[in-house]
Amino acid sequence: MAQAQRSSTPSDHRRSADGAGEVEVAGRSVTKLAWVTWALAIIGLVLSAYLSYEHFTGNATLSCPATATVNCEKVTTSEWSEVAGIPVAVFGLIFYVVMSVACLPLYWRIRVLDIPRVVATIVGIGSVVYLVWIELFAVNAICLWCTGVHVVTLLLLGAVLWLTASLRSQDAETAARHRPAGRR
Amino acid sequence: MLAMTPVVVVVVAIAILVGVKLAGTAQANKTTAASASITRQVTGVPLSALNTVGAGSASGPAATLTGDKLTANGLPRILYVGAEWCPYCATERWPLAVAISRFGTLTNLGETASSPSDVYPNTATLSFHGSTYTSKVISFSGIEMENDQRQTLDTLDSADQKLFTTVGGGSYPFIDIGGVYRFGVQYSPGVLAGKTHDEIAQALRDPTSTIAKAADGSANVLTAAICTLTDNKPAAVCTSSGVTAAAALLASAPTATTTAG
Repeated sequence: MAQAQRSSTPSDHRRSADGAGEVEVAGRSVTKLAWVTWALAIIGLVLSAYLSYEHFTGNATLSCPATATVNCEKVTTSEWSEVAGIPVAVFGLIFYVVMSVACLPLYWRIRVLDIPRVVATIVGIGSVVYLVWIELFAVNAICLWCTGVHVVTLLLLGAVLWLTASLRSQDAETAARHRPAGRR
Repeated sequence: MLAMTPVVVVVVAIAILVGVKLAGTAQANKTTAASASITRQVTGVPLSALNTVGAGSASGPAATLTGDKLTANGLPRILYVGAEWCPYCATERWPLAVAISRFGTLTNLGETASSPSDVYPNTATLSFHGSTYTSKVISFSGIEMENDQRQTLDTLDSADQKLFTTVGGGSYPFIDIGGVYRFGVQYSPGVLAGKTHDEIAQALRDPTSTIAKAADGSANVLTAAICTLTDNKPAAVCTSSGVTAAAALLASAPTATTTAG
């Protein structure tokens, strides 16, 4: 972790436009956790792409056991598998396309993406809870591939929140160090 | 660590959902695999008991059908459509299992009970959900549409759905014997009230019991109906005194024209 972080320099910071002395971070160091978030987003992207592909091909190659409890086809072809005519799997795919870009390690340096990224993951996990509820109480079956996406989304939420909090904390410390003495 | 609060909230929420589901399932799912003893007794009711009962206290078919014959793989097909919560289905499964066992091998039966909140609550019965049947003379499809919580179990294909709707009126139980006879309920579920699976299975062997007169009698009527489709094969079954006595009830059914099948 330590070697991935570089020391901040005055050039990494600039004063905010209002001149109130608050320092805004323009660049950050890329940590291993940033790579983890990107890897999770890519895994979610692959899983969502697979589920979308299966949706549009009528589950022709869907590999999943069909038991009373686990039945991917029952879930992915249920009346809840689409919202306004759009497959839920496609919503997942769109989410992970966005997240795989937003979680690029390079983009973790952009502070302005912090809040949208966190909001996106919260929306994502909210959807996961809703879909789990649908699986358990409406469809009465669990889709293993969907569960994979759900687990990845939960891990992504944890990683995004942790890294965001960590970077924000570092930003504050760095800003404090570089704040002019008269302002302290 | 405060940043992890939403993760904990989500994990707890999902754990609660799963817990509620598991608790509901444990309470709802009464169906288990039928014991070897139950299966053996139901699928092997002594011929002597069946012959002594004859038609017993059973009713005949609900209708004689005049539409297309119901077949599968060149064999006459028996279609049963019911639901595990349905008390009248609970009644009819016993004689149906007894009857078709005379023409082939019925395995993987389930044990369940009808809904506790309907008439004739908790009537002990079998379940055809997940059962298998092999025979050289007939084909059997046992469809349990819903479990005791009225949640979907089995589904009908479009042809069977059409039969169930048009010929059966969408009512459980629906038994179509080869497109020739439609059966509904042949005796009152009250006959089985308060009885356990073991007690019912054992009573089938006792021709003097009320249960045998109702269930074995119904089985003989069903058997007689099936025999009309198999050219009276196997002869040992179709020419037995119990079946020939019960066959008299077949003529009593009103005629209904079917368009599906």
